[in-house]
This record gives sequence, C-alpha cells and structure tokens, in this order.
Amino acid sequence: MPDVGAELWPFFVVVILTVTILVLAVGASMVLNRRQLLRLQAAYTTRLVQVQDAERRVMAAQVHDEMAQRVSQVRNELIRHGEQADLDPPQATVLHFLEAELGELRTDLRKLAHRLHPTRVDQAGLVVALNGLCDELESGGGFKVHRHFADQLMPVKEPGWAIYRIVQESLLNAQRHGGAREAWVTVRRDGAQVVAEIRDAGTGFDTSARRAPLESGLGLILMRERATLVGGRLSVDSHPGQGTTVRATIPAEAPPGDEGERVLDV
Amino acid sequence: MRGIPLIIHLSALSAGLPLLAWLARRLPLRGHEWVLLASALSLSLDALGLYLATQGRNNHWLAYLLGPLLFAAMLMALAERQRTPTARSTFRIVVVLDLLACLILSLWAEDLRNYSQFAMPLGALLVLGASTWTLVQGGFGPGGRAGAEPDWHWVPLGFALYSAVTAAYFPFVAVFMRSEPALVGRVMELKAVLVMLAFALVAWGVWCRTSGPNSGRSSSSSS
Repeated sequence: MPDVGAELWPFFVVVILTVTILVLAVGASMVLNRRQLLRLQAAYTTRLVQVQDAERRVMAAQVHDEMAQRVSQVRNELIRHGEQADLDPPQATVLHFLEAELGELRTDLRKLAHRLHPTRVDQAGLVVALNGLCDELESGGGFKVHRHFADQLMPVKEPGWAIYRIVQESLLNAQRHGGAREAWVTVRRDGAQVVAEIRDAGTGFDTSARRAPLESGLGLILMRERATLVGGRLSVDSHPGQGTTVRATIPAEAPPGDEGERVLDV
Repeated sequence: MRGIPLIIHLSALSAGLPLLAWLARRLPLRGHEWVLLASALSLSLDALGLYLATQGRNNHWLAYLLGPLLFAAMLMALAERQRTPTARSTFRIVVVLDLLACLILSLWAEDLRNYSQFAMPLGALLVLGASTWTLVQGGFGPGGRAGAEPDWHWVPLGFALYSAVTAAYFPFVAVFMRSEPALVGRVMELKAVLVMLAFALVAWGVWCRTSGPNSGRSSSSSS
C-alpha cells in the first residue's frame, strides 16, 4: 500500500498556494479598483467645476450684457421722457420712484453678474474685485470683514478667478454655516505664488468627521478642486467652537498648456 | 507506448469541439476568443502528447509548457463573464500570479520528465475555484440570471469539470502510478470520458451564445 500521506504532501502545498494566490489577487484587485474609483471621482469633480464655471460665465454675460443693459435703456428712456414731458408733481414723484427702482435693479443685476463670474478680476484687478466682494458682504449688516490685500498681486485670469472664488466661498460659508460676525482676509504675494488666508470666528466644524454639512462639504470640495485646477493647493483648519481658517496657495501664473480662457468642449 | 486506447484519442480530439461550434455558427470572434484559445491549446497539448507517446518519447514537458497557458486562457475566458470590475481584475491578476508560480515551480520543484505535482494541479485548482465562483455568482448572486447570456453556465460548467478532473488526476497518479499501474490506466480512460463531456459543455456554450460577453442583449437562441 503506497504511503498516501507522503505522496500527497505536494497537493497540500498546492492547495495552500491556491488559497494564497486567490487572497493576493482579491486584495490587489480591491486596491486597484479603489484607486480607479478615486481617479474617476476626481475627474468628475474637475468636470463639475469646469461645467459650473462655464455655465456661470454664460449666465453672467447674459445678466450683465442683456438684462442689465435693457434695464439701463428703460431707465434712460424714462428719464428722457420725464425731462421732456410736462408732469404734475404726483406724476413726477412716481417717475422719480421708478427711476430709482430701475437704478437699483440695474445695480443688483450687475452684482449678480459679478457674483456669477468675477469679471471684475479681469477688468479692475484682483484687489479691487476682492474689496468689492467684501463691501458687498458687509452691506447687509451684521458682518465685518477685516481685510489686508497686498498691492502687487497681479495673477492672470484663471488663478485670479480661483482666488476670488475661494475667498468668496469661504466668506459665504462663514456667514451661512459658521454664523460668524467677523472674518479676516489676507491675500499676499509669496514669490511666484499668491497666498490667500480667510479666517472666521464662527462655530467651526470637525474636519475629521465623516460627514460635513452637505452644502459646506460640497463647497470645500469645489474650493479644493479650483485650487488644484490652477496648480495650487488648499488647506482647511477648523475645530468646533474655534472658527475656521482656509488657506489657499495659488501660482500667480496659469499652469502650462492653459490658454487662460477655458473652452468648454461639449 | 503503442496501443493507446481509442478513448484517449477521442478525448484529445474533443478539445476541438468548441472550435467546430464556432466555425459552424460563423460567430464573431469577440466574446469567444479566450475559449477558442483554450480549446486550441488543449488540442495542441493532447495531440502533440499523443504523437510523442506513439514515438516512444517523453511528453511530460508539454504539460509544463502549454498547461499554464491553457489554464490562463480559461481564466481569461471566465474573467470576461464576470459582472463586476473587481471580479474581472481579480481573475486577471490570478492569471499573472499563476503563470509566475508555474514558472517558478517548473524550474525549481518539478521533474519535467514526469507527471506534474505542483504546476498543473495549481492551475487546475485556480480554474476550478474561478469556475465555481462564476457559476455561483451567475446562479445566485445579485442580478444573477436576469439579462444574462444563455451560455452563462455552460462554459464555466465545462471548465469546472475539466479542472476538477485535472486537479484530482495528478495527485492520484502520484500516489498509485508505481503500485497500481492498471488502475491508473482505467482512471486515465475515465478522465478521458469526463474531459470529452467537459469540452462538449463548452462547445454547447459557444454554440448557443449569440453576442459578446456583458453586452446586455438577450439571446433568442435556445439553451
């Protein structure tokens, strides 16, 4: 009778090898697939930011160039009519009221256009645009922005837009989600980079928690994506009850291959 | 080594059944490439082995050369039938690891002039595990049979039978070759019959598939 045990030991080795190979394969596959999933997620977020920016540019152009212009035209016609017509005092009062309302509507439309897309960054420079943003947020009352902007920032289009958006989003988050009444904004030049730091004295949040409040969580993701898109980086430091500090470091020049005006390929 | 039973010859030829099924149905290559490659490799392995045997020459080295490739083709065919990317990539990684293991075992642990004790049983067990997984997932897993091609079970079933027979054969031969050669001869004939059945199942799977794997289209052909 053959010694079965002695003859079968290679088969036992084979069984162990089989199990080992299967375990290794499953583990490697899970790691590879997770990486691919993260890559797809990052690509999706990038695309989301690009599509959002493109849509906002179109909407801003329509609001500023069409709607605001038409309101201006109606207001001008109204003023001309008021000057030419012989109106009694009640009629003149109504006319002046309408002129004022249309003037405010035109201003609001322009603010909306600038909020949708920071054309002021291109037209008047980043510092002017940021000051305008801070003034706008303070105009509602109950919110004070302490600001310090370096004189010579001069980032080109997309880095400038990214900084503007990050400051805008950070201040809006501080107001809406953090309940802050004060914020400090510093934007300075550090060699070839622009560093923006936004600090608030709001409620803060636990950055290590699995789920941030949905809107602010998404806003943080988009801010980080905007910084990454222009070759920069973003960090968020926050603790419950201790406010939030957002720091963005953005190259002042656009990344290589970028032609400034992003083209949306549909 | 004259007087090889007819059943052994028929078993060797049965590996060509999937090829014949594909040719007869004039199916597109896509969706069948790995099954046909496995079929061709098995046919080559057995045909060359029989030829060398009739010439009185050692034919064991063929198994070490073509066997791992045969099992790799079977695993790739099964990978194409998986429903999730994780399972597909797992199968492909298993192919790489199996080929590497077979190479190392063949060079350092095997006697190339004798029956395989490590490389062939390893490949067979991996294909058996992969086939069983495919059958279980297809039959009982989420979204199992719904929307599946009619051959979802035939090819894995055929591969499972082939690999189970192969995995059991080599250890059996290792134990009884010297003491019970007549018994080993009978077992060889039984193996031949089961291998014929296995390739018939695979051929039926090729015959009744009408579109590529994971195409999502239902087939009008009967299974």
